[in-house]
Amino acid sequence: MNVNTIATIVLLGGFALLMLMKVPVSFSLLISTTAAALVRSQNPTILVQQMIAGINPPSLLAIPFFILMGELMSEGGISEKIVDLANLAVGRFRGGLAYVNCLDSMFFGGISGSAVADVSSLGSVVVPMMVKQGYTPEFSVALTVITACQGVLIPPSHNMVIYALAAGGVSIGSLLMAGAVPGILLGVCLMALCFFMAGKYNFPKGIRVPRGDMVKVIVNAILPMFTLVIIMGGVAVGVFTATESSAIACVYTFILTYIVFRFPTFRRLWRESKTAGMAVWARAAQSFGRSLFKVLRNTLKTLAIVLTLIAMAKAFAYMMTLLRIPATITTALLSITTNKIFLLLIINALLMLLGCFMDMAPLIMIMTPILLPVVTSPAIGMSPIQFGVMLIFNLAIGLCTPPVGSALFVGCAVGKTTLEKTALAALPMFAVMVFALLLVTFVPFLTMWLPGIIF
Amino acid sequence: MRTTSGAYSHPVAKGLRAVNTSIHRVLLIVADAAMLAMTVILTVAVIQRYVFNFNLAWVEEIPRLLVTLLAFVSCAIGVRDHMHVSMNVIYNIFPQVGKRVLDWLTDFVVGCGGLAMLIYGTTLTIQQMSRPGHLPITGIPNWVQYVPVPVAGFLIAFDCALFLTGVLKRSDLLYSEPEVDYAAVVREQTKGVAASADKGGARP
Repeated sequence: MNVNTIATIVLLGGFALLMLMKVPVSFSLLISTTAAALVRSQNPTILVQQMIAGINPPSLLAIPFFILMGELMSEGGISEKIVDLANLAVGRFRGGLAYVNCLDSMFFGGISGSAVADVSSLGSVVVPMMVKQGYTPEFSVALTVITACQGVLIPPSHNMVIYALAAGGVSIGSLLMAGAVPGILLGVCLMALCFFMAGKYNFPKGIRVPRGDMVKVIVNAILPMFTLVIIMGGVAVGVFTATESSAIACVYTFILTYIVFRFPTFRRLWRESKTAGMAVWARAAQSFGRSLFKVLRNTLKTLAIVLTLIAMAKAFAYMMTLLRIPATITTALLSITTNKIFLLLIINALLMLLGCFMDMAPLIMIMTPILLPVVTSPAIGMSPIQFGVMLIFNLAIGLCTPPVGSALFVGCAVGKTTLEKTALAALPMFAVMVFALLLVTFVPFLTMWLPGIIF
Repeated sequence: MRTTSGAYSHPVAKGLRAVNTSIHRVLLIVADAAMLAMTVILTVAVIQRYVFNFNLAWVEEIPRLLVTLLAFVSCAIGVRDHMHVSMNVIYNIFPQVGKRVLDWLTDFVVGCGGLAMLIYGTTLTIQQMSRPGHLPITGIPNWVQYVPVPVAGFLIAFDCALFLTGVLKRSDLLYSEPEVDYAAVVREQTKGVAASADKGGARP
């Protein structure tokens, strides 16, 4: 056995073994890469350079801002406002709350970009409403969990930025735009399923919003959704880069959360300060500090995971390239078949399977350098942008499947349902998701149309 | 002697915990400041460009240095509270003793990772210091961008050493509340439903 073969075994075998031992994925990557470098008698300082190179691209700055923006939005309590808007749009029909569940995820996902955040915040609002109206808790939770996956596709999604970094040389603006149509397509497919089920199971009609409240509902929800306009509009028109637009969106969200949405609080404090003096404002300032600190701390917690992974995965990918692992896998896959459809089905099945066992960010960082050469080879000829959307769609399905589907677990905990019954209720929705995924895989127009007309 | 949380109450252990807490408090302030500075710098840059028609050249480089700092500081923060993503599928099927062994092994491996970052990060930084390179706009020496790696490596190794020696316990969290184990919550709910079904009280 030559040194490179041993290094390959150390790299891949060590990584798998450490991960199974519950060593954090990022440190499994670091240790296996360092060990492989030592086996090859290579100076590991090159790996440190690679780690720094991994987190140095200017576009990476968008990730902390997207995460901070999501946290600020959660602090601003926008879930109810979004649900109200969705209710105003589709709530009056038979099965109205099921449609509301699909639509609010489309709106909210476009803001938070995280499926788990979507399930925990929207689920705690919509699931009790649905159960109260007579839907089974399992159906309510299953629908909330599945619709939440739109969040990782609809812009702005920090997972798209992670993919752009892993792929290298892919326009972040184009990627963000490319996820919009597939995300909406998934929502529309799920709404079509709800329409079918509403007729078959006689779902109750939703709640009609009184005419007098309509303007208030629209204004309350439009303000947070304007962040989407800042990010996508700014990038599309060319006013900002993706990073700048995410920073501006953070400032806008900060103003919204701490000033605009707190006008009623300010009015109350003003009245109270007339009798109680400045102590009222001091208490308010203290509460603001605590709240901002909480937002920053939560952002840091997510960043700790994401940025470390990006740095370590860059070194791992570098070592894989040195050992020609992606090239070997490409040759091996193409030796099975050169049929484009069959190859794409194999890749989809592989990604879906891996998504069932591992989280999204590490899989994006690990699988992109391995599979991108396969899909962009002449046998398939897929665009890296379309592959990015397909990859993230596949991994999004993994978020709602046992044994590690984080969105599914959060949903079951929020809705107080069992995993088995919820997974059973979600089966028709999984079928719809797979159908939408196949459309995204085999119809490039769905992903390439919007970036094509904008950029 | 151990405290109620299971950590040692020896004065040296107490001192080490205090040092650890102080270092992490500083880290948190550094990370928060870096995050806020990045937001402010980029926003100001956009305002300067569109309102005052003036480009700040250093806006390219400073946020990139800050994000490097943020990445490695947050890496150390993640180790302190065991926040990094790991795969629990196999771990969950082990009995309590097996889980304890795996926890110990995890801390050991992560500590080794920290040591690797410390050793090779220091080597690289020293190598870079002996070279004349500067960042093109700000003129900051090249080696500055590598400094967060050995610093984070040292903190990670230090944290892991405290975990391995029992000075710190996994439950001693600094940055977060105890994580909700949603898988365990759902398992409990499933048990509850099964129990009520046995009594004939299940939902139809």
